[in-house]
Amino acid sequence: MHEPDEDVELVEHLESDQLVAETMKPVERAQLSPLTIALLWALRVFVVVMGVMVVYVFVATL
Amino acid sequence: MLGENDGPSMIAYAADGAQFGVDVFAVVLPVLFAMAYVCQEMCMRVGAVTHRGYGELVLQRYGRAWGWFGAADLTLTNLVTLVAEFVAIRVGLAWFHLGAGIAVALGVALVLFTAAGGRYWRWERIVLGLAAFNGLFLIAAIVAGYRSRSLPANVSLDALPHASTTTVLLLLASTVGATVTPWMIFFQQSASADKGMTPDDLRQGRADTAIGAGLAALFGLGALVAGAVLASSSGVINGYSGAGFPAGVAHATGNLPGTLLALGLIEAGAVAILTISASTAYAAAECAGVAHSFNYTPRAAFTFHGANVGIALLAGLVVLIPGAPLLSIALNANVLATVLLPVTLVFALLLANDRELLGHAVNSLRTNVFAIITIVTVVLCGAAYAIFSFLEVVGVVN
Repeated sequence: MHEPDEDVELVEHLESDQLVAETMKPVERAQLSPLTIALLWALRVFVVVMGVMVVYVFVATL
Repeated sequence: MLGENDGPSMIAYAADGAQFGVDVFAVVLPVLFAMAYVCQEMCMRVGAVTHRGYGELVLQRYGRAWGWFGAADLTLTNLVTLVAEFVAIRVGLAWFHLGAGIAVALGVALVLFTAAGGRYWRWERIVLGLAAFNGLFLIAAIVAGYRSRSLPANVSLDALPHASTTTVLLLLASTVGATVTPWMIFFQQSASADKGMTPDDLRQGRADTAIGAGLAALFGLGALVAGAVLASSSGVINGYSGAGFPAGVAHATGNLPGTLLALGLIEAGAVAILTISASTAYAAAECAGVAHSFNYTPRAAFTFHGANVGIALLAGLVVLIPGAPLLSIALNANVLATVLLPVTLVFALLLANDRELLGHAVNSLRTNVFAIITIVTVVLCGAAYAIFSFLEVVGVVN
């Protein structure tokens, strides 16, 4: 953790040149197994269905 | 972590205490905050090691579809939650005979003021200063408990087994959603990166998160105990549109606890407005691939600062709409957060186990076990309430 004065130095010198430049490079795409992809899709469907149910209940009980 | 003790959360804990006493929830709350600690520690670690926010990493590592899905999911939850935060401030201000317009002006002015400095540390210290006043809930509980001689009898409640299934499920889902929140996952990782944390800071980061979790649990228990005082009177927190909670406690124990709770609600709402708006700003700017830091001026990070102020302003405008169903929105905010939370948690878990990103800083087996238990709990609570309440509304079950 940095003190405020150190933060200013960090932003003006280190972060603008080095840290920010480094974080501007995108990380590589993860290689997911077919099982993980299927589980993530199941999760997406689950969340959408549950979200729709909650919103429906919310609207119906207004 | 103290941002987790937002307005609707404190009202939910007080409602738990008022309806069911402290017996069950005095155990449940610390367990939930332990779960919140596990989630936030993972995010702090990923942020410190990768120097990247949650939205940015999900987008780059798992594709744009997941990144934007998460950001949209978060924005919806945040908008609803922010409305509930303004309602909490309004409840607190109503104790002092101030209206909704003041609540909205106060919230939006705070967002503008904290972001105006152009430095992350300035934003953080203002939020921490405000968050210290979360302790008012504990003081209120001590005063209310001392004045309410019948409290020991009130807290041995066994109403829970006799409540309806929907009520118990709503209570569980909203209490889980009050403690483990999607916006905190986004915020914790992005703020850790914005703060400039490095792997050398992990020990302090863990201590910081643990202290925050302990204090949040303690202050949450304060709201629970203060609410339990109401079990001896009407047992009902009388709505969000008036000064129901502080007025109810004041009626039972005198003005001082009521005033402390009203101030506590203003603080809880204000801190949450700052952190929730910030989490939206991080998510939007990270997914758009533009500057996302409080260290940038509004001109240099227009999307970030625009989203930060914009979502607070939008939620404030909703609160000002005459006849808007604020009570219903506030009650459903935590439930919606619980239902939408699994996606956010699963990606947090995937990132925290990504050896290519974190090297030796990946999750231990014990952390993975706790994190999976947390995700399963969230999924079960959210799904149980969503399915049961849906079937009840369409008339399949009574």
